[in-house]
Amino acid sequence: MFLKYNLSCFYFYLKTIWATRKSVFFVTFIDGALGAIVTFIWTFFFKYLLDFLSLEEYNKAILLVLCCICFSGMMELIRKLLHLIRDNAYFDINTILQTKLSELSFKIPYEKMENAETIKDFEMAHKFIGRNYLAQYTLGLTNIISCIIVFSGVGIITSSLNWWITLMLFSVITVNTVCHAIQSQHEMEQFTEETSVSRQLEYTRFWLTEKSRAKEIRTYLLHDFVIDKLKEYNEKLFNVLQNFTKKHTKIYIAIHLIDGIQMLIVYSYCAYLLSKSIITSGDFMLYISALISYSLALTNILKSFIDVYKNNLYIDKLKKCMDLGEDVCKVELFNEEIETIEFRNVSFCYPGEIKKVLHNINFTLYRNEKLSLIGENGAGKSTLVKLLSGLYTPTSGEILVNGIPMDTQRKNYLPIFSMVFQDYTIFNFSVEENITMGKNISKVKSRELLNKMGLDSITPETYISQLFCDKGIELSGGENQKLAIIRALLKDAPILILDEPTSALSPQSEYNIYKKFGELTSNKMVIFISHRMSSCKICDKILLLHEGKVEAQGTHNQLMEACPKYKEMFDAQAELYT
Amino acid sequence: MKLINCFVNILHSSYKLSKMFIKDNKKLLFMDIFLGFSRECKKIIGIVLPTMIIQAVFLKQNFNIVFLSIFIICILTMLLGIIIESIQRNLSNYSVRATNSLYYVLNGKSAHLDMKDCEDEQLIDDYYKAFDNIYQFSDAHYNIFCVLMSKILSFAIMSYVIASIDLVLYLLVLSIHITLMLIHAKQDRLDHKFELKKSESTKRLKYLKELLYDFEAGRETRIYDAGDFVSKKLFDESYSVHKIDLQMRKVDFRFSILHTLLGIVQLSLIYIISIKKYIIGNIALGNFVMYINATALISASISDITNAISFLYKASIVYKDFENFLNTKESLRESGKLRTTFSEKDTLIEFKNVSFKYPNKEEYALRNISFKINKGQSVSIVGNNGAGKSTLIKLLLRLYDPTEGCILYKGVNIKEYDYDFYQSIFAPVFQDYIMYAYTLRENLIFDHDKYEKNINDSLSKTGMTEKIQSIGLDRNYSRRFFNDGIELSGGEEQRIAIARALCKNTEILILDEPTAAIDPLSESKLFKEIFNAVKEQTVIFVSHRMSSTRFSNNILVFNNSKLVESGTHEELLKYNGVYAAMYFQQSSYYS
Repeated sequence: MFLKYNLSCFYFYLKTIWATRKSVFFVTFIDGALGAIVTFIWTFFFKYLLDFLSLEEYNKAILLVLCCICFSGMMELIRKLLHLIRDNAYFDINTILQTKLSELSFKIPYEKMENAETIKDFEMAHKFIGRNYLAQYTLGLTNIISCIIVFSGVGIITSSLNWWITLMLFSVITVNTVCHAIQSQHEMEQFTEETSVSRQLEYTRFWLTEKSRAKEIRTYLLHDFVIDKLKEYNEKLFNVLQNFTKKHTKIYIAIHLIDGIQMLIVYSYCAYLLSKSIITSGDFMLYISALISYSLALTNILKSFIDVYKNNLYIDKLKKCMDLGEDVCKVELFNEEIETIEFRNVSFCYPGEIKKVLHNINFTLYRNEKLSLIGENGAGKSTLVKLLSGLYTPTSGEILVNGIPMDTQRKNYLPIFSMVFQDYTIFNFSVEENITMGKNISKVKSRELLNKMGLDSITPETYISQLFCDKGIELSGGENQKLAIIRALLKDAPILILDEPTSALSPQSEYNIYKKFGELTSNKMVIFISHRMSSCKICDKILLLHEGKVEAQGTHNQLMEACPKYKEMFDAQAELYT
Repeated sequence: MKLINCFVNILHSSYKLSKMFIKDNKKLLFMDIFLGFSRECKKIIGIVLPTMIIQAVFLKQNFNIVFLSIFIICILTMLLGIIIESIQRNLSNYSVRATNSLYYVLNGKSAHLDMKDCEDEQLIDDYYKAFDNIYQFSDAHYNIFCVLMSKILSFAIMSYVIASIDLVLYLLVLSIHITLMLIHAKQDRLDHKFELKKSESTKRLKYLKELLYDFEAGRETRIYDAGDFVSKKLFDESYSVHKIDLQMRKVDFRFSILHTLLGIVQLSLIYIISIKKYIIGNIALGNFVMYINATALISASISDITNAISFLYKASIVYKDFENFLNTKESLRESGKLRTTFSEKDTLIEFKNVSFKYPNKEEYALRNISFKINKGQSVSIVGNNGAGKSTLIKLLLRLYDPTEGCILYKGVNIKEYDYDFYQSIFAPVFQDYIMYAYTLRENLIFDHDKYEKNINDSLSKTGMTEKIQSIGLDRNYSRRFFNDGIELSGGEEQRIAIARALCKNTEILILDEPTAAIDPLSESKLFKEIFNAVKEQTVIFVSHRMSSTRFSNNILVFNNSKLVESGTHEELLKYNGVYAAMYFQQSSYYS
């Protein structure tokens, strides 16, 4: 299971690299091999140097020294050049992955994107790219390759010189490996636990710096609250770390004990051989540096395995995100004239919740009809709209478009909707980009709408905020909301959904917009969500929701007579004006 | 001159940083120093041991003595290894904690900054830099106490040994390293320039990435099919970051050629001179190895020192941002000291000829405003978008000080009061209230336990009792971190925000467009609750809906930054001015 998981991540890694930049494989392999060669050279260097010196062949000795030094210097340079090439390739890969990810995060079903798990996956996938873990991953693999070469190479050569030493080294290494393996297991556990705590710490750390929070922090005297929160999470993180450190203690003591014993045996045995003149002092140095190369290679290999494992966690998330994309490609855009929309026994509850937000909703809308959706907070108005636009899929029941059941698995219905959300987003891009959202729309048309909405003074080229342009400006809440409405109108979709579209507008602007409303939306189906009952009067049909059920539907006049609840709501507001 | 300046900066920041790290964690200091020395000891043993053995064998010493010394040294190495490992592990944990605790200072400071600084884009940028770069000096204490101290010591010892054997070699090695150090300094400066060039794009990249997790933005991009549009922007920005990165790497590569060449020269020199010495017969074969290793150790410790200094140099640059941030003047907080009120007169708040301009703006946001608010009154502030309503509230809350004129609270200029004391008079509900990803209880009262008793009352006033009882106060808000976290609808969140203000239970309640997302029945109930039940409280209500104004004792009408009308609902209707026009426009919907 464990192996399979890691292998599948590794396979994904290979596939990704293969599909984007094949040169990485080539570079990685050469890099690993060169690394191994350099290690070889230095392992044998001292043996031959000492041998030459004791044989008094000084010219050879100096030649050896110069060759080795120059050669390894060259190798170092070549490796650095390879790294430059590799880093460049990595950047390309990362950019491609990142763009793909961002496209995905906008395309996968909305309900999936609202899920804490998915967000975490995406966050980790982005971290993986942002911190260039891909390069670290390869580095780990390079290390493993070169260490294995060193391992076997040095093993073969020393065994040709002295068999026993090699055997002894290997046996010690086996024991050592077991200890290291246990330790890596601990470290992997630690890594997983650590990330979950530090995510919370990061949230607390960053929310205070946001500008929009400054007012509340001051007036609610939150200074101490924030610092206490930071302290709480910091201590929690520290405790997690310390606990693992305690767990590690026994193992690293064992590792060092074994290291010590190994050192003792090798040194005493070699000293014994040396004193009996069985080996030369050159051989002696060879064994010692072989021992050092061995244990370095060993530690490196194990470290690299841990790194690779840690990165596998990220790769796994990246893989999961990319897998989400597979369904997305198959969905085709819905592109028909809209005649009717029908809700048939639609119920919905949020994933993981038991309580239904909507029960058995039934209603039909016809071409160019205007519907007003009203109800108390939490009655399910926003959810209903999200269902309609395909951001969520109903738990049971059907939504029929032109008499055919909506199927978000096969078709994407978003092109037929335009929406103004209650909590609309204005991006820090230019005004034009904000209203056209990157689409090719004639400047005349957008100018006309800007004027109609009373934003005469704003030029489309102006940037919102100074992030992308030094001359950027900040707009007021009302102006932002107008931009959101213009954006919806510019999309020119057959169905327009407005969720509290005028909450930030002054009465004057609201009045103006209502007046032009009929003209602007004459050929559209409109769904209006508002707590201002005033909007009901400009609509053909009213749907009153109560606790997730349809309480009543009809025109304003019908409901005033037939539905006491509606009358109560209307009067409650009208009363304020009489 | 530049170099000296640089050096002074490094010293200054290193001193401050070490003080900061060590202050709360004295253990760190001891761990650092001990770790450095143990590591050096172990390294020296590694060099001395083989030579010692070869030497002993050549001198034909008794094998038992050789074995005994090997045994002792092995035990010593083992012990050192265990000690080093245990310190290292603990040290890294303590270091993480110490670094995170720097955020107490940073976040604390940002909570105390003047509001005008919080809204200044340029300053905000600098602050973000200070926040983002903290990890760049998290290892400062380690570099100072562990690396520098022990390396300098081992450098000194080794220098003594080598210089006494061969002064020429020693000077050669030293001069090569000084050249390397200068090259390093040059490289660091270049790198810093590249980083600066990158920072603009990095900031944009950060914003664009955050958009990906933003639910609201996600909905918008879906509906308007703008995913590719945003992705393209992301691609462009990351590409420009990469271009700079690549340039930087290329420059680095050129430097590394120099490094490698000098390294080759140095190593060749060491070996050739040592071999020459051996030929002449100045040193024995065993010593030859030690001699070479010791030279290598010197050169390693010099380059470690260089690296540590280069690290501290980078830290000193980052530290400057950090220090600037911490030294930002808190002019609002520093002004007043008064923690009590004197007069018990009826006038609670008085604006006297107040005018206000936002920093760096030409036109006035408010001009010559004068009015009084009495105790127990409910006041409505109405006006069109941009008439100055929100600015007025900001002045009242002393988030800004007026440009001209003054504001009095109980007859005393509000600048005279202690800042936190003055804030405790108000409970505001802002248009853009915030929900926090903590428990619901914390969303209501934060850490102010003394308000615990108000929770039930304020929840019932806002009509949230049932809802919250079914959820439980200790449930976490938001699914961002907790899968069982709870999401509320817009209206419910707004009611939580109002309940939060009611929990604070203060003299003056400020409501800035608080019912935009609340349904009509709850709205009218809420108005009645707030205006009738809280008789002792003074309520200030900001809105462009006229509906709430009829409950008010006094209505202030703003137009074009000026106070144009004031009076009760009836008076203003009779006056037939701006207010009446607005009112009739709205009521026409309901006739």
